[in-house]
Amino acid sequence: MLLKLENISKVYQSDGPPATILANLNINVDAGQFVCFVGPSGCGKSTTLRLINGLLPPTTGKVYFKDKPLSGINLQCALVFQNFALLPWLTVTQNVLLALEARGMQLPAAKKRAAYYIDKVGLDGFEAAYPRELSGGMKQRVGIARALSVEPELLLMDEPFSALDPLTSINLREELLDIWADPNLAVSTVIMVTHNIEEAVELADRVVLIGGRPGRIIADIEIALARPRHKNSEEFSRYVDSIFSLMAEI
Amino acid sequence: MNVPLQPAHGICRSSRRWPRWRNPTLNAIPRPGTGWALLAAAILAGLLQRSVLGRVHVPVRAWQLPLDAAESLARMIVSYIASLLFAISVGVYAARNQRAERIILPILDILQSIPIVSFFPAALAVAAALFGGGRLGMELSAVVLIFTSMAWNMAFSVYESLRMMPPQTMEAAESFGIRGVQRFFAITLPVCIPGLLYNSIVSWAAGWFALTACEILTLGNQNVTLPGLGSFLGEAVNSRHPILYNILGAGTLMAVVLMLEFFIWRPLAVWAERFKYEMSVSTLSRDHRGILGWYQNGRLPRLAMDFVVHPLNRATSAFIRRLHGTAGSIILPRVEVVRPMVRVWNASQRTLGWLVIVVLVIGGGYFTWHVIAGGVSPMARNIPVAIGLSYLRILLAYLLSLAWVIPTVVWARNHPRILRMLSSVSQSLASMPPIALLFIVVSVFVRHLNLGRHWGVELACLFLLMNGVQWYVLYNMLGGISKIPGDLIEATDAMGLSRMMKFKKLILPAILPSLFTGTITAFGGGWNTLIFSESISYANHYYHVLGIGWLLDVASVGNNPPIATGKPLPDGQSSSLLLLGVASLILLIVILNRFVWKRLQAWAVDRFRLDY
Repeated sequence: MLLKLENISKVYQSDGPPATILANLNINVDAGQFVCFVGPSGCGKSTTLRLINGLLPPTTGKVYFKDKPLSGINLQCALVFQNFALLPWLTVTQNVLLALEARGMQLPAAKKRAAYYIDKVGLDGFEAAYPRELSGGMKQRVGIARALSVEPELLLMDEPFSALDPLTSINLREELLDIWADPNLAVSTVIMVTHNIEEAVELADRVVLIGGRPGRIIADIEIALARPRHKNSEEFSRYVDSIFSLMAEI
Repeated sequence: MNVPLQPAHGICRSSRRWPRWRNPTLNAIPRPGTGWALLAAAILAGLLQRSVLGRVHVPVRAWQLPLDAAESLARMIVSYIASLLFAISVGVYAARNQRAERIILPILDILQSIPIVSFFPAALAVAAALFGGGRLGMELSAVVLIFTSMAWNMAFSVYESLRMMPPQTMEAAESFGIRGVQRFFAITLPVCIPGLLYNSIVSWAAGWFALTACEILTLGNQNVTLPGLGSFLGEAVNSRHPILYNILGAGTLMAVVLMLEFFIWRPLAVWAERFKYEMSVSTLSRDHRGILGWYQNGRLPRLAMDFVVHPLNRATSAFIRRLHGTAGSIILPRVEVVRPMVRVWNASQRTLGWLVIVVLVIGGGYFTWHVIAGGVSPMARNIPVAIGLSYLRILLAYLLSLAWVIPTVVWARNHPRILRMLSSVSQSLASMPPIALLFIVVSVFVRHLNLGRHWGVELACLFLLMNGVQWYVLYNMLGGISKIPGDLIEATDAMGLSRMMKFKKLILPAILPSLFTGTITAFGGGWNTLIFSESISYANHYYHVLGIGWLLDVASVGNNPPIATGKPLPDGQSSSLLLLGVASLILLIVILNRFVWKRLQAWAVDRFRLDY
């Protein structure tokens, strides 16, 4: 088992009354799985992702990564952000290099690695461009290249396609599946947060539906569809419909 | 047809492409580093002259002007570097530490909006006590005085830039394990650069503005004149050829300010474009020409990166790992994990904070008692009336400034070249110490217009005040007008709105936030000018009008410009008058800012924000 969340709850204590975001969350994720967290906005999906990365500590409960309890930022994870979170004053290459240098990688090796992944996400020729010169889809490619370049065992994605136009996100989804399936690339396990049910059914082996206040797991659904998946097929629609009706009941 | 403006940029930027009319000059420069080389040569010459001749007080001599300018420039640079270090450390500290934020922020806020010139006697006394009365001590004291007029707004801007940064950036950095020096150079510092640059320009103007007061130091009954442009201007007014020397001094100052503008600030502004936090797609041309190219491709910046920044990065990240015993490990502990250290650090900070407060309160109390015990001058009774009159003068100057600035800026909106020119002009004229304008003021308003002595001086005072106020108004309005998105202007054009409607519905609301922000700075400039403009000493005549600026000038008798009130106050009485005057002035400014301008500004920013 790669990842295990055990009795996780998260309470935000700000000036007002404490707000419980998550209560008693238990999730196990095996290596090699593609998992999507789905749920209405504000249900704690993104918080869960940050707990897994170690950006936030859980209020109670424990996160286990490879059976070891997590007590800080997990550098074997890499996070892709909804709004890209690129540094506007660094070029594409420099943005990717930053993450590698933070891991103490020597510059020549890091440069080689960065070039490889920038090429992998289809950005060759844009190495010296600044983020503001790129379209939204290309910015997210940089975000993905940055995450892949650290060769994480677990790739975390926080609504990576929701800031993009539909056509771009279709393309990027396909490419993400290619990257996930590529045996030459280190990343084999992906956890993605989305509020787009079709996207989840298209991509995931498993859809975890989170909902309610505080957030808890409503359903954990195995998507037993062969790949490549076709949106028009009857089975596909059945999965989408059943998740829709579950979500409507929350 | 209206040419849509390029998307939101501060006014300190210049165009992305060098405008045609400046190209020949730029192309004539053989090496991009020439500007720096010239500056360095000028500074060296100044320092050399100082050490070789070692003079302290000299009569005004025109041929020494370039050297005077170099020495003043050297002083300004030293103060600026100190201000920069102060601004970054204090600003970052306040942004990171909530407890520190609560103490530092109000202090910075007050310091950046009060007339810092009125603190010079006190600051000078402290500096002289620290550094001694020798030549070096006096130089250091002058640097401290310049520092006090430069540092506060810069620190404030560092704090604001860090607080305005999108939270995702820090989160991303943390999730990829970016920490320590690497985080400082990759994120913290770049985020601050645009704001820091804008405020550096303002600070340099403030420094030049106060230069005369910084270079003619009054300690007790003794006047120490440090050679420099400021003291040249200060002594020119009472020299044998006041008009000639005045014009020469002002011209030299103007030349220095413009040189800095073209060789330093403009290229920096183009360079700083990239640090702006806007991710919208725009077509920023990467301009490698001119001096800018030096910053980007020059050997020195690159060497600095390779031999200082990168090794520091690597060393600290290795150190952090070793500290947490995580070299090569996969989990990077949260910083909070080192609990005992944090606790000790917090506790010591708290103690230090209280200690500072206690020392300040006791020291301040003792000082006040000591000063008041020295006897209160009967002139102190005039303080409320004086402040009221002064406030009316500044208000009038402010309204007059608005009256010409708004139409000008609205008209210039469609002419990028004129916008740029205006920003250079406002910046260099804001740098003019009031004393540099005395020759015009006195000869025109006091001597040649037949208004009677009182109204002549009143008009002269208003003119000087305008100069201290209007450039800040202009500078801020230029920033505001260039932030109006082109598509909104196109939309109003397409709707066929009349000029008046367009002004009322789009332009005025869009510039209101900048207007109120500018108001606080403009009034700050006004209060600062007051001390030089309500009492004028020119060609051995002394003119004054009733106002707080005059009272403060009387209280610091012998302070520059050397004045002949005829009846200097007894020593103790002058310091109590100074204390009471400054204290009531600060009280008024803080109250007005807190309860009027800050509220108006918050309202305008909230109501007329341009992003949605």
